Amino acid sequence: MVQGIQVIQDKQQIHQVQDSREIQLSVQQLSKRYRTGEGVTSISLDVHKGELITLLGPSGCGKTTVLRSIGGFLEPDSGDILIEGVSVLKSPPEKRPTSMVFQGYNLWPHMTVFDNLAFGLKIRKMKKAEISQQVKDVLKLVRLPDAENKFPGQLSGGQQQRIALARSLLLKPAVLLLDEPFSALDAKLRHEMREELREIQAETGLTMVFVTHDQEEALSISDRIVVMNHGNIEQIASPQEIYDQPNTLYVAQFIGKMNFLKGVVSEGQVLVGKLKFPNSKSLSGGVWLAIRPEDVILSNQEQEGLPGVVKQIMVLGHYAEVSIQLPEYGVIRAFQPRDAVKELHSGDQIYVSFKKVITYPEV
Amino acid sequence: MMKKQVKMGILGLLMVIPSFLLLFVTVVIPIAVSFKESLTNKEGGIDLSNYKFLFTDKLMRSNIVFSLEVTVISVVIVLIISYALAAYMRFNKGKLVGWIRNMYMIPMFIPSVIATYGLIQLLGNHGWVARWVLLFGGSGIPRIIFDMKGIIIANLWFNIPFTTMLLGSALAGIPDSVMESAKDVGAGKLRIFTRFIVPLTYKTLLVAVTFVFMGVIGSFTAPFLLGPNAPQMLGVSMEQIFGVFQEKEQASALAFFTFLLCSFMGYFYIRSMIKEEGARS
Amino acid sequence: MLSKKSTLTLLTVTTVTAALLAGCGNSNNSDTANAGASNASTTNAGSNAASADPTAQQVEFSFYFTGSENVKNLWDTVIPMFEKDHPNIKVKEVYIPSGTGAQPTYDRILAAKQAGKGSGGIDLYEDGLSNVTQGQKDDLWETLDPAKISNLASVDANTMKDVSNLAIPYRSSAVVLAYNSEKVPTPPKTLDELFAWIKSNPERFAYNDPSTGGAGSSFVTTALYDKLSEDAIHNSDPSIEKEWDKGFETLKDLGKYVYGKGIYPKKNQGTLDLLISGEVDMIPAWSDMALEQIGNGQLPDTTKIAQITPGFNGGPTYLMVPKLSDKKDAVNEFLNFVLSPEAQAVVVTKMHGFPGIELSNMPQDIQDSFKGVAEGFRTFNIGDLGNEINKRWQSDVAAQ
Repeated sequence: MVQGIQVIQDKQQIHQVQDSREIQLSVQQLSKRYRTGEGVTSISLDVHKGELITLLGPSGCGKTTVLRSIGGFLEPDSGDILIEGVSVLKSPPEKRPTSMVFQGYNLWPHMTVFDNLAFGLKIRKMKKAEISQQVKDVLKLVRLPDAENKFPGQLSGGQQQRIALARSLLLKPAVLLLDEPFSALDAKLRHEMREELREIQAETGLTMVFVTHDQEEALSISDRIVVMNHGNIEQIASPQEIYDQPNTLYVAQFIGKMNFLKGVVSEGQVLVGKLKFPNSKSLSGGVWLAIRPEDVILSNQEQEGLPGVVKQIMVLGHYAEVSIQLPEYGVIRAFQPRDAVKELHSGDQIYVSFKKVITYPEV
Repeated sequence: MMKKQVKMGILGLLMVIPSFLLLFVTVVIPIAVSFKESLTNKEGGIDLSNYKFLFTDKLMRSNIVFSLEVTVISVVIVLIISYALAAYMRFNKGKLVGWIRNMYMIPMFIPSVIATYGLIQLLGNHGWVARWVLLFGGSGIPRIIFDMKGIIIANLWFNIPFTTMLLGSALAGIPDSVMESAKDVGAGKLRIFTRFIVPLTYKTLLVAVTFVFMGVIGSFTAPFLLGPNAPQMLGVSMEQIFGVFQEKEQASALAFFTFLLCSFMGYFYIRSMIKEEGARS
Repeated sequence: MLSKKSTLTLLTVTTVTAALLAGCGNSNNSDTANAGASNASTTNAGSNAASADPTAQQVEFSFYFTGSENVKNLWDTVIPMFEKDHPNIKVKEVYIPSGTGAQPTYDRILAAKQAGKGSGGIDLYEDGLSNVTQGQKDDLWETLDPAKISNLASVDANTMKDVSNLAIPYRSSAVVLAYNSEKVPTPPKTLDELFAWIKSNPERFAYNDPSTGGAGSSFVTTALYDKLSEDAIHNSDPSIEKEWDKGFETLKDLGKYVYGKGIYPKKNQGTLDLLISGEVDMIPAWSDMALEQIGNGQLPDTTKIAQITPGFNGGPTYLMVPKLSDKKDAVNEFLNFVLSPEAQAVVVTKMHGFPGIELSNMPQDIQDSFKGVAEGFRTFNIGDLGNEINKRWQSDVAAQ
């Protein structure tokens, strides 16, 4: 209700708002348990004004539960939800300053696009002329200026989701909730829609909570990502940080490609074969080392690493993925510049070392 | 290319012919025959005297009015109750819902004659209900059996299960997200009902109206056993004219008139279907 | 595409409509058949036989009868009893359920005779009075000889004379008053007394819609012909219709005193149900139905039956032997058995019909149960006028 959909000319303004770290949405120790045993446990989360935050996790991790609780479609067992500092827990969905874009079947099939968009405004007793102006504006924003008189059945899936987004935007919600809105679309369209959503967010400065199970989607659109697993938050951080510094073994496994090797702590260092790394987390005993494929260094000099045999080389556009069989450690993958693998063949003896490792205690 | 099209056309025609013939023999011919018969007067000539009788005879006129009255009241009550039941089952969970879901179809499995006698036992002057009312100090119940009320109650019994099933499946076809998104933009319960649930089930509602209307106006067993001696429902009157008075032509006229009433309902149903199609495509 | 779909829909709706209409047509027919069946519980034949000659060769004869299930039950009981005593005679039952639309048996006998084919394989036939007299004209029936059927002596001689010894009235049923003897200590003896009782006991009397069952029909007919000349009940000429006016006046007037101030239940059973539930104290009913339901406890045992004078209509059912049958000896033995007290007891116990032989030949307990009922019913023979009565009753009395 605070921020309009009117295009905010001065983008600086948004940044200022963001910088001031004003909290738009605060989820506090939210718990909800279903009869099946699934649910969420004591989730706490602050979302800043104008931020696009993504709840990411596999199905059943509780991300949708959190989202639906914010929207008012679920009643949590305990905890609180504050929007602009006010608890909304007692309000039904129609009274909350939130709006939700659903996964599918979003539009009302018996109404034209105009009626779909105008419905909420009519409830708010807006004047006719104003409604039709706002509908026109929002249709322009979602790039469907001519759809007004069509029925949802006459629109493609992507167009329908854009109208659904428009419908929510019109209501100028304090928090916009998106429940896997693009999951029903094909890959190309999904990419386009992500970009558009990002642009619309930039233009409107809306606070958005986005739910997805697609880590690539999360990485590409979010200001911050909340990685969830089994009803708990594993990590809340920016996409960059999540990628570079996954807090837990689970996050390391879930986000991006990652190699895992078993090592051991000895004399204050983490050892893998003859390679040594600093024990920055002060672990002891057995540890897991996680290495991004791009941090793997290949060499034919014996003293520089662990011995291995090239199993397969896949050239993927501008880079190549090389699989290397390491005795005792299994197969690891390395991303190499295309030129660097020209001389490499499967069956070649090779030595592997790492630019950067992340360590986790062995469970 | 052309040849293939012709072949397909012939195949299509061949596949339609059996059902068309069946329709022709079982429906079109009988209707045509009874229409012709209804135009035959006592002297064997052709005129509208039988229809004139339908609308001028005091008894027949009151029968027609009575039938329409019973039908309209039954349709309205059936739809209200069925819709409420179906909506309750759609939007609620719990033991009561499971209970209703298991029970509401039972009347469909009880033969109509047995059910009708059951109703007489239950609602008759000295029936169970009357006895309970007396037991708890009441002064008896108004006359239900041998009255319009009896026919209507029987019609409820016969029509609610199927109608509820029909509407139930229509309501089940409305995705939760439609209603949630309506709630989300700020619609209250009443508005969701009038602007979403009703419009989205409107077509099925119309089908239900058509079915109940036709079922009730053509009913025989219940009005025969439960209804008053006069006025009569059209089905009972038709039977009496045909079977007892043996006035075949008058019975045909009455049958054809009933057919027209039903066709009238069908017309509205079709018209709304066409409208809908037109709007969609 | 659009128009195709609409056409399809139109066809569908038409089908549904037609199916509904057809459905209601069907139920009409079947119900008519049922309504008729209760009246028609007067059909059938029996026979009795003297002793059998065990050395004789086995003879099989065909026995044709129609009617409701209770008629078949009767013969399914009587015939094995007979065959047990007469191992050399076999009775082939040919039961034609009412309403099956088979060629009427009477026409078959007549056609066989005209074609010179004997009796058409029909050796014994059961039907009502009209076919007895019709067959008399067509000379189809064998004159029955008391010398060959010794038990004929126990049948009322006058009745036999009425049918010129061509048929055996082996059982009868009639419409009677069934009443609750606790509430009605002395039942009316005449129609006038009955009318007076109805008026002084409002809503305690019911008769069924005459178009749906013979009991109500009999009450209405009896009321209409109450003050008419005696031979009017055998007059099928439409000119008599205007003489009904007074009777219809009376019935119309009774409307406010009968059950529910003008409710006439459907079918013979409809009024019996009211008597069972105690909603009324007196009804006209078929004797066999009332007695059967007293017997099996459906009607309370305080229920009694009585006939008025002159009586409601009723009549015997006859057995006839086609003249051209070649198995008359066997048939005569069977007829003799049917008229034995033993077989007649089955008529009483199984069908609750009146026995065809004089009551004095029956066991004492059966005699007692028929006290005051067995006599006095009348046979109306007014042809198609019955329909006219129903029509006028519907418009004058039901819809008053």
